[in-house]
Amino acid sequence: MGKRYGFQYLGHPPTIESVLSQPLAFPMQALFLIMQTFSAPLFVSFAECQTNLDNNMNNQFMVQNQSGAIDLSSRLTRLNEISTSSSATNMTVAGDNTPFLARDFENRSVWSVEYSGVSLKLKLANPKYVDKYRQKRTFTVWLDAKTGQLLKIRSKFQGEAGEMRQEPSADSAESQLRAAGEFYSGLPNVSVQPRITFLDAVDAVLSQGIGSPLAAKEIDGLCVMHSKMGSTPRLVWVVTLRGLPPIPAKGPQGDLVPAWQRNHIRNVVDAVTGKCLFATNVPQPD
Amino acid sequence: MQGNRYAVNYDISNAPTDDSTHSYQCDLDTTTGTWQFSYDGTAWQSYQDDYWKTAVGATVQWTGEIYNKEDDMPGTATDKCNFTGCQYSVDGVYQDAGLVAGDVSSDDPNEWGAQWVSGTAFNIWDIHPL
Repeated sequence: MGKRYGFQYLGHPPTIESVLSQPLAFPMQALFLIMQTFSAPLFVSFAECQTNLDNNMNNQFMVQNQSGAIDLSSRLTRLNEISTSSSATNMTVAGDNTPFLARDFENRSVWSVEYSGVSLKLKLANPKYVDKYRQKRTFTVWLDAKTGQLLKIRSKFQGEAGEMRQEPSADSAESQLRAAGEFYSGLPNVSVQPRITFLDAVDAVLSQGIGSPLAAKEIDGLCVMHSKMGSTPRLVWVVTLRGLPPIPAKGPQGDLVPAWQRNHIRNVVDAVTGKCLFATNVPQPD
Repeated sequence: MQGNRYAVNYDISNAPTDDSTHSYQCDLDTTTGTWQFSYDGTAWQSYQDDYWKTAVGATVQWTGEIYNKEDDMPGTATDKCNFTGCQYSVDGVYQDAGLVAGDVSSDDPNEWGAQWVSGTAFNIWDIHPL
């Protein structure tokens, strides 16, 4: 458990040798000393384990090293289950484009965990379906280096982008979302964490949402507190599918809407219940 | 919505229940360029785009629409979906749509039925509901 999540013990239980080397008058005293010497550190260690596990559940612990970052990232996303390799590097965020959060992310030290060799497998997809973008998507997960908190998940398509355009700047995206009545109030408080992983949210999009993740060149994720039309903020996964086959545009002159405005969709999924709430193509590229 | 940018919103989790009746309304505030959509009198969605500060809607449509062709259009031949009270506003004053039979149509009569009822009403339904 400690090894898996990179726990750091502050002390070490005494060795048998160190205990037995104490000068002892009676065997019972020796047993008492052994129990006392062992029991306190062991209880402390157990308490530390429990605390660290709780902290781990809240993502609030220092990610000690690369393997710790990968483990935590995999627990939050399950991307390890659909990739052939993963690696982690430490970096500083610069020039991020996440609406509402980019300024908060700027200059943060993060673990950047990259998953490659991805073949998308979703629970509710036809088991015989072969991902047509197999090995063409890489996913990158950013974890705050100090707290382990998940910042965002980005994917990169390694192929012809076609009509898939760059995402808008943070300011532009934020302006568009505000114009549509949406607001990201921030990352979740440590006491309110997603009950479903990123891949679970992608599964929810496949089964309940708009646009097929299997047909998307890129799939991005964000776990934030979200409100719409003044509603009470709730914890959601924002799953953005990019590079989709263009969604038909209805209405007068709908056919004149360019494909690059119709080939992406953003699904908002309740991160506690897994229910897909709504989907929209806001924000549009600049 | 189409202004300077094209926007759609799929309200996946709030589909109306069978045999329920609801009112839908959208109004443009040109001072802010904002379309306000309401559902049963409650604000449901807003859409602000500077384009709409200097433009007004030129056409109005009342449509039944599905996302996937396999999805069911509301209504069946024996229990049609009724659109009633169709109106539009000019300078904030609502007036009847004035529909005539030729205004009501289906993209594919083999899949979906459409029936004119009156100047403010029509029916739609799925020909082959699942």
